[in-house]
Amino acid sequence: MRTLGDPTTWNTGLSDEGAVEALRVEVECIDAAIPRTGRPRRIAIWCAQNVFIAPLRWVERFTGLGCEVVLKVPSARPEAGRAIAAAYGIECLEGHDLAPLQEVDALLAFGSDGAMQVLDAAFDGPKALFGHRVSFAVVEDISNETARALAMDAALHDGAGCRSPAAIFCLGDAERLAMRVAQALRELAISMPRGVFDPALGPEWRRRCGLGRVRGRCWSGHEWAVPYLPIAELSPAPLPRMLPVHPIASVEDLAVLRGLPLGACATDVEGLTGFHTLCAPGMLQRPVADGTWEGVDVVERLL
Amino acid sequence: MKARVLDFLEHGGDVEALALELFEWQRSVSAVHRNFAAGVEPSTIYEIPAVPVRLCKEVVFCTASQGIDFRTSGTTGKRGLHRMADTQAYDRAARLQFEACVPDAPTTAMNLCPTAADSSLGHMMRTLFPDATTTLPEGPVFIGTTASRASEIPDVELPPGSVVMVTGGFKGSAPEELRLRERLGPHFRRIDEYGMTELSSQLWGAPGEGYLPPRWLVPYAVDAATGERTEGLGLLRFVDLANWSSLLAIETEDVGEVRGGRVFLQGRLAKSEPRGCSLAVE
Repeated sequence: MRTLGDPTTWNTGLSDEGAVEALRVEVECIDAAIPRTGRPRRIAIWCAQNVFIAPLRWVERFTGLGCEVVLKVPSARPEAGRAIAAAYGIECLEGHDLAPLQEVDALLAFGSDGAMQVLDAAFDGPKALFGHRVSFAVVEDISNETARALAMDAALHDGAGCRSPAAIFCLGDAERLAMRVAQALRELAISMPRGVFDPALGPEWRRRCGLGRVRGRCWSGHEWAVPYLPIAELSPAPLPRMLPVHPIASVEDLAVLRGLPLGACATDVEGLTGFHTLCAPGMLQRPVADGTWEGVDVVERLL
Repeated sequence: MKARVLDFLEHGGDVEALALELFEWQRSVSAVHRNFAAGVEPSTIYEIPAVPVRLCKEVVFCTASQGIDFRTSGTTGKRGLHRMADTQAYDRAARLQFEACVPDAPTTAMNLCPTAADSSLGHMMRTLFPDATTTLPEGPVFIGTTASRASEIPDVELPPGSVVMVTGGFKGSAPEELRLRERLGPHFRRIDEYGMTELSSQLWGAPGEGYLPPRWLVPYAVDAATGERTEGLGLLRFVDLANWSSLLAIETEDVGEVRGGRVFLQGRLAKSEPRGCSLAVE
């Protein structure tokens, strides 16, 4: 694994502590991965904004397989991508020009559904495109340990990634779990403060807190909040350091998720269906770097 | 409480004292208000918890179990609801502020604003001009229109004394304003109205001069991210005593500045930046 330098200088949008921890967790996941065989000759990796470590595991994998990797970095926040490209000695693309896609054999891309549609139309070769997803947690256990693990899942990347939990569904004493998650987020706000907060999210933040107070409860601090609400009040898009908790009587209640582009689920409940990936609480942001994503064998897909 | 507010509308008084009293009263009679403001003990008017307007799409803030409903147009999805016990304070507030800001208004009117029963703008026009028509009457006229329907005003030179009220604004489109002047001649006066479904009060002002709030409406700006009061440009909040039975304080999604007692509107709050691969906020 290459030495990447200091992520606190990369304009990640996260706090210094958040950026360091996010990079550390990703490197840990990559190091644990098992090398695979087979490779495209030249591959473009298209990075999403906001999740600065997302391309790292793929750059490591494809350069490790001997591929020529071209990294397209997000225009708004190119610094982290540039640092990764420099560390691996690979080509770094910036801007909105799609022409360089004509010179690659395969495309791996992450980002909005709109961006994926554009890329899908622009590139005919082997491709793996990953658009919007929303992830959740479904738990029975309400221990402090579970609460801390889920709070870390929400805090890493400040809710910006597709593996950030939008809400916790609790089969146990949900109100107690909510209080414990609140305590964990309160502590994280000190040890790993929230990063840049988009002012445009302010009204939605205050709506959800207000709804929590009117229809349930809401614990909140300067940079975090835990609304406790009936499942009917679900808002399926995560906000930075806000982790709603919804009590459920059974997994049948999760029918409300039907129709959503579901991603991963952190859970201690057996037999959940509908998600691409199931993992333990605390592992949402630590997916095994085994060459798959959302259940897709990426290397296989790009051959 | 209603009598106290009606008296304030007519004669004025200590707006902060009455606002804080109203806040406590609403909290004492309404569980929704009580829960929304749980644990808050405001000592100034700016500390009264403001209801984000988008919450009005889900929660009804009314001290009465039944009342008069006004709804937003729903152009951005689900319609917001503002329920008030009755419209007496609304009607009085509308008339008093209109008379103060447009004292020379003609008595005949052409109405190009929405006419639906649950449109607050429609209600305001009906209150101010119960006999307004949708065609242009003879003589000096008051024309009330939304910016989007301004083109429906017939191309005739309006007689002196005429007033054209545009609500919603031309969004800074100078050519639109110029076209209106070219079409309707030099004699009419333009005045803009700023109001919203969630308010019972309106602000009025000549283009470019800022909107004048009535004395029972306290505007201020907050940092959009934190909700903390700011002196400069920010998200606009209003404490509206005329909303005595509903939304005492609201947080809009309009960006503006309060300067010299007037409200200068800049526009809507920008949408959030792309959220990477997570599902974006609606």
